[in-house]
Amino acid sequence: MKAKVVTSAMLVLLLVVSIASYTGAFEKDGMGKLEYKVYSKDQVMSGAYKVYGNPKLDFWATKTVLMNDGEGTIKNIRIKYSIDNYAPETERRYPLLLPGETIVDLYYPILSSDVTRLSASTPSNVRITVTYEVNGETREESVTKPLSILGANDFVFSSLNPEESTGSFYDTFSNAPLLAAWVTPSDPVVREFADLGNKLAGGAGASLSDDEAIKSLSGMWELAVRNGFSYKTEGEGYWTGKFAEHIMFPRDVIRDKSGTCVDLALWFASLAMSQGLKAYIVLMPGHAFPLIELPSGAIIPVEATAINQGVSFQEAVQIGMEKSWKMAMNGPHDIIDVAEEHSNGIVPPELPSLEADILSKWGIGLNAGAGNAGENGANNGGAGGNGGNPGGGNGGDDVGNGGWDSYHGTYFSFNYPANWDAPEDYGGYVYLLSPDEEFEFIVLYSRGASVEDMAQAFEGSLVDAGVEITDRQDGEASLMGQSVYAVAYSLRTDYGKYSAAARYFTANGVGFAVIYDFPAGNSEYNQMGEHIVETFNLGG
Amino acid sequence: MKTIVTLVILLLLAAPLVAGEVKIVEYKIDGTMKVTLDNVGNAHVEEAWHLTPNLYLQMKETYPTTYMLRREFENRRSDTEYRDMKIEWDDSNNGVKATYTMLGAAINRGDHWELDLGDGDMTLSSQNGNTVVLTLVQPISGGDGRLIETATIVLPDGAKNVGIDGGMLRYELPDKENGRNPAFLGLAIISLVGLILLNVPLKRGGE
Repeated sequence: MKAKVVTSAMLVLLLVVSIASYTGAFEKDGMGKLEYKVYSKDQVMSGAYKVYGNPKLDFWATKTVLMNDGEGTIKNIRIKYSIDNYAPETERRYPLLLPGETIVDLYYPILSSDVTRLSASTPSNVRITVTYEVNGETREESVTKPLSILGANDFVFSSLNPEESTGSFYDTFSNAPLLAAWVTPSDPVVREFADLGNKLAGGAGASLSDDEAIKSLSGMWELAVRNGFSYKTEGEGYWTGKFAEHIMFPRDVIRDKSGTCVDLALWFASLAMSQGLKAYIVLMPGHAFPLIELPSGAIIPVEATAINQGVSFQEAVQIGMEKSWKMAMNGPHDIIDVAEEHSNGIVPPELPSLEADILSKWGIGLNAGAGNAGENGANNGGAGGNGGNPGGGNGGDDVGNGGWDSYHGTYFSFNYPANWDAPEDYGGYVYLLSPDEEFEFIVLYSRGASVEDMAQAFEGSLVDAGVEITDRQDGEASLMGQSVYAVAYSLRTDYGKYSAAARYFTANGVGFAVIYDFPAGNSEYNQMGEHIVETFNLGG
Repeated sequence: MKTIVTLVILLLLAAPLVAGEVKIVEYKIDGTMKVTLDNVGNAHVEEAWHLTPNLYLQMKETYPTTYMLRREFENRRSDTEYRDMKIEWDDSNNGVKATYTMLGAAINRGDHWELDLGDGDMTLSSQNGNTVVLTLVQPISGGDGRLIETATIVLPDGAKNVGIDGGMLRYELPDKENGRNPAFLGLAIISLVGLILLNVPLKRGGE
């Protein structure tokens, strides 16, 4: 009986304890204790202001860390953020914060587009307010952190605080992907410049084929050379990543006709992308240059700073390949896929509208008088439009009307019959055709090309065009009072037999081929060709 | 004859560029990761990367100190606090080993918890009880490389209704706040049954 009583007592005790435990009667009536830390960026870049509001890009402005160091649960946590004048209040909510739990909340501010009007760093504040409930009581904590809104052209290479950074390349340039926001292929100014370059190239559809793309890029490059674009060296401290650096939008490069290596890389990448090509920016210690992907997928590096020397596009690619790319591959570097970054959300800001004819107001044009490397003054804009006929009666009898006009191009000039259509410059070659279309006068020119390059290119293209070279006699002929390499060709074409006379030479780093062709045996056109060649002169 | 000219210029321009082509090479790292989540959403992580010998040397050159390499681990989740980060180069196996704790890795949404698995591609390999095995592919080094990891995620005991939705691993835990642990309820029932059996006279045959 006694055992039964003891066992029953024990079971009653167990029952009571179990029920009490189940209902939480033994739990302490603990109180939650909120500990918090707020980390804040010192600055945001106006030029890349759209990235901050996109959580996927993870360029947060403020990080709030909440910890519950108490023994009770904290409820209904609300975190409010705002940036004075530039971002309205936003709120984030968390229902519970258990004892020992941590919440890390990131603030991605949706900044007003007004920030793009800032031309210099402007002080502001991030305001953070945390409200929460502990044991039925509502509490609030507020923090204010200073924030600099940088000017639209200011770029900070590193997102790390000085105390965090090791000074390594990757730490110093951790913000590199944001450079994609400075690549503006849709900017009307960029598109207009690209269109003008294409016009210079004789019309090119860059996305159609590699050849067309190269033709288009060469035209844009040539336009910049003609307009005297130059490379501006970076100032001291530019590459340290410690300070906000002035990065120009491509339209600024076009306006100023100059830029640092970063500016020129962004400018040329923008031009290429405006024509439907993919572009990359290679960043390495102390330098930057663009890569352009051709329609076939082939990628070419372009040393954009070579614009300073007025070299040809081909030479800029050659320098890019032999120097810039090799240097980049031999050390730390970052390759920014601009199209991918744009699709990720790193996109340019809205830029102010400019007048439709802004390029001409800035002195940019096919007929720019800036010249390149001091070689050429006026260029082909004067075609057929100069006063008088320098040749006077020269050759007048040959053409039957006694009149000649002069063509003045970037690199050379020559006379042609006044009653013919004016020669046209297609960017790389100037073309003159007789009214009966039986006589052609062509001057090819290419920076950096040798005599052999010019001859090989011409002859190779004849073969590709289905023209058979039945005879080839090389020797020397006179041009501008000097003896140059010359070739007389006999050609078989679909239109019959033709003759062609070509003179190849180089001058001031430019390769030239002065060629005319005519139906075989037509001595009038042969003499016409020689007359025109006699008037050929270097200089615009 | 007019067609010749166009070809001439294309040839002139194209010829020097054929040799100018370059290749952008993306590198790849294989890895394994074991993530053990505690009851308050903190993740205790053991991670190992396996590299090719060449890439291993490049990485050591790029990141001469493990402090610099640390950012490659931490940059994958900004919305956590990293603690106790330990990283070791493993020269013998061309590998990197890391252990660390991520405070606030999983977020308490009241009726469930969410663990962000990142924006990369992911494939669910298996799910057995409170253990989930995934393959995660994530960009590293600012997109220059890809990290392909087999991640084993061990959820807290009692996790239920586990599922993955939109890059989030979702699970539920027993509500601790009201202390209603079903074990105590079971114990109470057993005590009650014992008391009844002991004290309530039962009719037995012959009595």
